[in-house]
Amino acid sequence: MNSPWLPFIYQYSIFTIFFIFTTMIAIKKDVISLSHPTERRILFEIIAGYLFFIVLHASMIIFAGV
Amino acid sequence: MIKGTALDLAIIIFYFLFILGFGTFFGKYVKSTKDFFFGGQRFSWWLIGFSCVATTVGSYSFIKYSAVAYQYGFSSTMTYLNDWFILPLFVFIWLPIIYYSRITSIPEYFEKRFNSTTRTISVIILLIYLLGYIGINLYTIGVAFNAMLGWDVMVTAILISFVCAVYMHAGGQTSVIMTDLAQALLLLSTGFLVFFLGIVKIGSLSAFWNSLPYEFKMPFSPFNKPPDFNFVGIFWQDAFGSSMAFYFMNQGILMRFLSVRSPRDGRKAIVLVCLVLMPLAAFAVANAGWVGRSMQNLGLLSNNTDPNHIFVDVAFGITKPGIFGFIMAALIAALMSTIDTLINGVAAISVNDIVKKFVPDKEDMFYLKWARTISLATAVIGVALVPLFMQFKSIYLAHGTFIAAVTPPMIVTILFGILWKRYTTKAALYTLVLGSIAMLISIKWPILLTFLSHDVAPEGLQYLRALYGLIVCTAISIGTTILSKEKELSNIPGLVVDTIHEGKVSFKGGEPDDFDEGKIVHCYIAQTSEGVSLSTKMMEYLQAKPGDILYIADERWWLGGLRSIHARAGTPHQGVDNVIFLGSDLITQGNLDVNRKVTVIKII
Repeated sequence: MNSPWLPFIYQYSIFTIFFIFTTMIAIKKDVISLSHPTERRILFEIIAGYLFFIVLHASMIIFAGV
Repeated sequence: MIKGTALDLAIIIFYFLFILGFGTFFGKYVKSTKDFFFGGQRFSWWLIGFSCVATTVGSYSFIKYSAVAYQYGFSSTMTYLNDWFILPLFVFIWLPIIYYSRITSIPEYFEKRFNSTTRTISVIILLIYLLGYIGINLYTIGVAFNAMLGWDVMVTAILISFVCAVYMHAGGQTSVIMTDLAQALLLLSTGFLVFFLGIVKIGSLSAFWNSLPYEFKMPFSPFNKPPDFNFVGIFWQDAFGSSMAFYFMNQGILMRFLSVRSPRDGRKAIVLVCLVLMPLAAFAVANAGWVGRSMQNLGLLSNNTDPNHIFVDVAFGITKPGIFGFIMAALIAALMSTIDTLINGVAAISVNDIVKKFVPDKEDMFYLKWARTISLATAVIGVALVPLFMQFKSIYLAHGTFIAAVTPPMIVTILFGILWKRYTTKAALYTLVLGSIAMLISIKWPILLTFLSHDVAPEGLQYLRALYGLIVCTAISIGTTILSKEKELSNIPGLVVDTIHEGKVSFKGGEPDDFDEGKIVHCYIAQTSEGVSLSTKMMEYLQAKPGDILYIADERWWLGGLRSIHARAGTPHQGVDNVIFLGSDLITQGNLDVNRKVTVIKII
């Protein structure tokens, strides 16, 4: 239970479920229109930001030992 | 030992007076309750972004996160680097709902979405949440000043709440947002100054890095230990529960996003907050603890330092007279920028959800007077709560216990309310009442939390109360909804994800066209008797039609929308292209200068 990756996996499993669930609801209910370039860009930016934080936390774990 | 010199004290007093004058100055922009609570819905994204961060970072943040940073390392950042997961929900669903439905408070949302009883209950819960938050902040600053100057905790709390209440009394939300900008810049720059001076004291960045053990550099604390700072407890209490509460039920934050000039600016503001400012704030509030641990490992700091005093001790140890006062002024800035928001939030809820209910249909000035009086009374109540929080062992524990106990019923009700059209009034009512009772029962009998323990030791279970609350409230919500009758969608336009389009139609008074491309035109003002008229060419460029809502602002971007107005586009004129005809009432209302150009954008 003491692996440094366990909190990382726990956190991003729950966050990713929440993130995908709320995004899918927004798309399904037509709150965002993927056919419109501006809204597509906003969605892309939000997903990119989420990936940024995953990479940031993973990097912090990896570089802690350097 | 009392720390700080007469010069430090002089700087702190100067800062107090500066903020008092700066905040009070903006009272001249307040002409209505709309201005007092929402700053006239005119501000730019960057101003709101900085204001949100200044609100997030309270004085408790510097003390609390420095203390855990000193004890447990880089994992102190985990609560400030975890907000991005709420972005789709906030940007695509919550922001359009609150902006287009023109709600002025969370309880008002509850009344429109459910009924007046849920509104009353949510008022009670929210006031407990906001007043408790004020009490914790005042207590923390009292602890810091006690460590620094030997002042009594209560004396400090009274002094600072007085200053906040005075400028809040005058300027409302406009004062809050403008002083927050100054305070956010000060507290972020101070955080970096502490780190820079700390590294100078230690010798080099590599000496700092090498003096810290491997586990200290981890971004997360160990999964289920130690009891007072284990990952799983902090995740549910702070990263999930507190973040959700902050963005979805904190009246102060709601009012920030109702102060933006458009939902597009709201989106930009939340991205700025989560992607840039919160990581910077995470570093700013915690690094004194990391520096303190490094200094201790290198023999530059006593081994007996109290974690709650580490921020003050490190700041004192690495600075010269004058700079120490500057750093303490930043601590005050952090406190005041949080408390002013909370005071404004309490005033908004009290006026909109209590005063207007019992004394309806009065002139706006009547309610504005009430708002100002309540601001003063709130500061007094906040001070009165300080002794309650003084009973906790640590500031982190006091804050965590309070948030975990109060927020889950509201969070769950809001989430189901906006996401599930079938979610019923009865379910909301039961969730608020039975959920709150379940939280109280778990405080009386903490053994109820053991089934969620994740092998956390019993003394660390209080953080998992947030998870317990979320599970219990979710079960109540789903169970009751299945057994009760749903509200017709036609009764809740714009209040649930399925009806956001109807909310936009209602906001505009016609079919919305809000595919905002961010197009801007610059115009000279020509004063007219009433209304707004752009040239045909400009209207075509903005893709605007008569009846669309335009935002007209002084072209000086750095004013952040302080001089601006929303107005409905009239019939286009055939005159000079870069001239906008503006009614004199709109010019006055927006504090616009007819000798300066304005920028115009289409909102919807």
